[in-house]
Amino acid sequence: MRLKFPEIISSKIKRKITRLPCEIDKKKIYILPTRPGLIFLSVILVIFIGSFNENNNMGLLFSFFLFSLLIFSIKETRNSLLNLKINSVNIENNFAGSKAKTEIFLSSGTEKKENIQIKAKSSFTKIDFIERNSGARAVLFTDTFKRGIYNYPEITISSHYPYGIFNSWTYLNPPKKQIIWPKPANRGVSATQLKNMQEDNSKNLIKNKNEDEFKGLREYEKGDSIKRISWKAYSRGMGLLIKDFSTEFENEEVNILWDRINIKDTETKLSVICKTILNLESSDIRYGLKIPGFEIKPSKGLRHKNYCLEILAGFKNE
Amino acid sequence: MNNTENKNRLFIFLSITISSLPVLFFMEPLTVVIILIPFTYNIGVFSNKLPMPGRKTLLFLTVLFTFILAFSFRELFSRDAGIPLLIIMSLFKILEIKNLRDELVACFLSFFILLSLILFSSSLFTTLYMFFAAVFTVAVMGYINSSDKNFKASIKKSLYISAPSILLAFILFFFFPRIQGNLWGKKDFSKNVSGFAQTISPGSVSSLVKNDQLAFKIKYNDEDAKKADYFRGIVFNHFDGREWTPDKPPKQNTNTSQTDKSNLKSGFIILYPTNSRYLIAPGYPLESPERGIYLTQGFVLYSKYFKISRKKMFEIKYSYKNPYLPVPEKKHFKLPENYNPETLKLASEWKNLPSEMIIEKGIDLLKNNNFEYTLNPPVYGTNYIDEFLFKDKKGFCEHFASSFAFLMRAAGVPARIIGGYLGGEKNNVGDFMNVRQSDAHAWCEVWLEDKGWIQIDPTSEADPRRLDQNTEELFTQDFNQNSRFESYYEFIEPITNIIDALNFYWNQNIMGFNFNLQKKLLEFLGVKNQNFIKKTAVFVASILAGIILIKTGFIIRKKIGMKKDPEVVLFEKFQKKMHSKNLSKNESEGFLSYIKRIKNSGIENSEDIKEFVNSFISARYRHKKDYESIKKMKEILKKI
Repeated sequence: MRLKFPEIISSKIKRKITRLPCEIDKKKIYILPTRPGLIFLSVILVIFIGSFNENNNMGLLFSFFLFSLLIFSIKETRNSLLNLKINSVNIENNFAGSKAKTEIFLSSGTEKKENIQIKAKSSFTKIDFIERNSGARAVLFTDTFKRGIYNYPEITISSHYPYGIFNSWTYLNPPKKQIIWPKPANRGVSATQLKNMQEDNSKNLIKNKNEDEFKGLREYEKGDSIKRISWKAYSRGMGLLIKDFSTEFENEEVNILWDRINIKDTETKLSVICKTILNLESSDIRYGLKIPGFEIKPSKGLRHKNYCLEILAGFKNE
Repeated sequence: MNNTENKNRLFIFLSITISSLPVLFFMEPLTVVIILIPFTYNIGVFSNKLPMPGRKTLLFLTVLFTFILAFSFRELFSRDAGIPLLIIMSLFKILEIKNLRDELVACFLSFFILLSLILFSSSLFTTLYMFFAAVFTVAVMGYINSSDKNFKASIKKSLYISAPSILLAFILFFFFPRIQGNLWGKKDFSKNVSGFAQTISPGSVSSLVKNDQLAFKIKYNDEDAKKADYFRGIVFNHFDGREWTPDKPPKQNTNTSQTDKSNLKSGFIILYPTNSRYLIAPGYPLESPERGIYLTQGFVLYSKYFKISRKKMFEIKYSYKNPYLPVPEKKHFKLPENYNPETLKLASEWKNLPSEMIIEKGIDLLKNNNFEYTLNPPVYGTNYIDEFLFKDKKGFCEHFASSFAFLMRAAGVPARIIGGYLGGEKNNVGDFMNVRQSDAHAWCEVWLEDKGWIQIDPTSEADPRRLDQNTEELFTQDFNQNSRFESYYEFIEPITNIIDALNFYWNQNIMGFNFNLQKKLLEFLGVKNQNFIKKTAVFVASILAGIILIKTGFIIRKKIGMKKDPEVVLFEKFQKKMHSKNLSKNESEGFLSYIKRIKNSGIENSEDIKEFVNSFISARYRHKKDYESIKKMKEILKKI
């Protein structure tokens, strides 16, 4: 079913951040007739006017009955959302141009909830029903277009249960921001190139791979790179063992320097940097980032990567 | 087409079937056969015997059936062609459903079909059926919108929403400000129905006698209503030698402010469609029951704008005493020339006598000459009054009445014929009369200087049996075996009487509810000097009162509906028992520590208690309902 009214109303009212978890109360629910509802209303009107004119009491009674049904179905439609709990909203950050996943965790109150539709921008999902006193998870995939740090698009939770003649809905504005990272370029800047870009006085610690000194095997520890697992040893049934190299290698680090990358267009440049970070993250080299306004010391790991990408996402070139 | 869609369609089909079923009973057999074709087609599709038709096929079928109906009924926008068309189109609509909106629209069509029933019947049982079918359709609407496809739950929900709706509907019905008359013209959807003839000629009344249809029902509000009752319908003033015809339509209401209204009585009439403009009234109606109905000079009621094409209900004010006015005019003496010479000759002999004597002579003529009151009079010629009075002496009431009126006019006494009904059968349960077409009758009125128009029934003067018996009883041998005198009829009569009475009250108070009754209702509630604003205020107030009432109902239902789970009830009972032993569970205490405490207290059946508490935990906190544990709890509780 197309939701037209919610979007019109949404543009008129001020966005209010929803504190989570929250329970949907009467004040937050909007109700309007759907298109079939309007058809139904006109059916009733036709019956009513005809019967009133002809003084046909049977017709009048019937039209009043249908009208009353309409009135009470407003209440029923409201009840289909009332006391629905939104426990949390999990927004995934992603690269521009890909689909970002959002999970919404709902739970019903003391009553069974049926036919709940959840919508954010063009993405849409439906929960058939939530049994009373239980929960459900809805997953939305929203399109992302441009890198940046955004307010998450308003989520509309709606239901036209039980009769489809009214639609009740409520808005959900999750407090979290959505970070859309720049789209990674096809090719990043290689570590060697980066090394060459380093300033003269900086330490040049990158050595040729052939010079790496193999020290031996040691047991796997959490956090070790998958690339350094000795699969040969594993296939021999010796368990997970890690190839240990000389310590100098681990200290290898490189800085990504904004000024030295010779690309004019800012967005392209950000894309290239993004790809570079991704490449470096999957290699063993520690990396830092220097862009106007920010300087991040070389490090590694998911948090570091995400931080770097967030900086890129929010980058403004003055 | 997937399974869900199929189920939805099936239920919509059921809904449309239920809605159109009663209408079929009012249809002609051929129409029913035409409607059954798409019905069978639908069933074929649902049982996968026939393929799903495409758009083009459906369009073709729709056009085809439209033509069939248009040709067999000559017009499409009449009741008998329009409703079958609606049903057929709805049935095709089911096969065309694509999305939720289509499904809902099909349900609305089902409501429309259901509503068309009001063009055929407005009885209590029709209404009950309509509400039943409406509840079903609402359930189907709920079904197609629900995901778990549980029709029982949909019915439950529908009832839950329909019950308050019916209440609110009645509030709206009684308090919605009514108007007098119509906003604009009515469309006549009804069929031609037989009713009292608009002219009186030999055979015009007797042709009605075998007609078993109800003409009207009347309930007297006063105790002393006579048993044999004359009901006035039409006054016939003009005679052309063959036919008696009424006056031209009246242009205004007759002023009855001078008339003596001291003995005014009232009654309620449900008049069945006659396709005539004349209404029926007992005695002499003295007031117009509503706007748009005129009281004529002859004291009958005439509907100015519409034929009575639908059941008409009205309150009637009448008197048994004849109103003196108005005086006779030229037309009451007028006779066609060169007709019935023998009668004229006889009358001319009486001309010099006083009026009373002439009337007496006329009555004596009919009384003492072995006139036979029969359903099968011979075929009379041009001078049928002569032939009737002096030759064959066999006739029905129209013969008696027209002969007597002719005789009186010929002798110089103003006379006219009244067409209407005489008698009827009483329903003892509801204390009202059922008058059928077979009770149609015609009688005379003659003018006396000092008394006004007095009523004379030549038929009953000649054959007094007509006064006490209705025609069917009189002419039993003329009625065939299918009449209502079959033996079983007497057995079921009390039941039919009760049903009839229920229907009467329904018609009188609900279907007959109108501007006047609303006025009375509001006066009863203390609203004097009603105007539109006051009425609207009352209307709004009544809706508010209704909503409060319904809201209270919902709250009470919720309270009743929130039953405690059985294990909780059992545990509370158990706690009461333990309380006396000072061993009830503290709120902050966990179950396990509670069990420990009981064990330590050294109470005798601590093992039982332990098991009881464990069963409670199992019954309360397991994912599935644990009926075994509840059973166990009950057993243990008895022991403790």
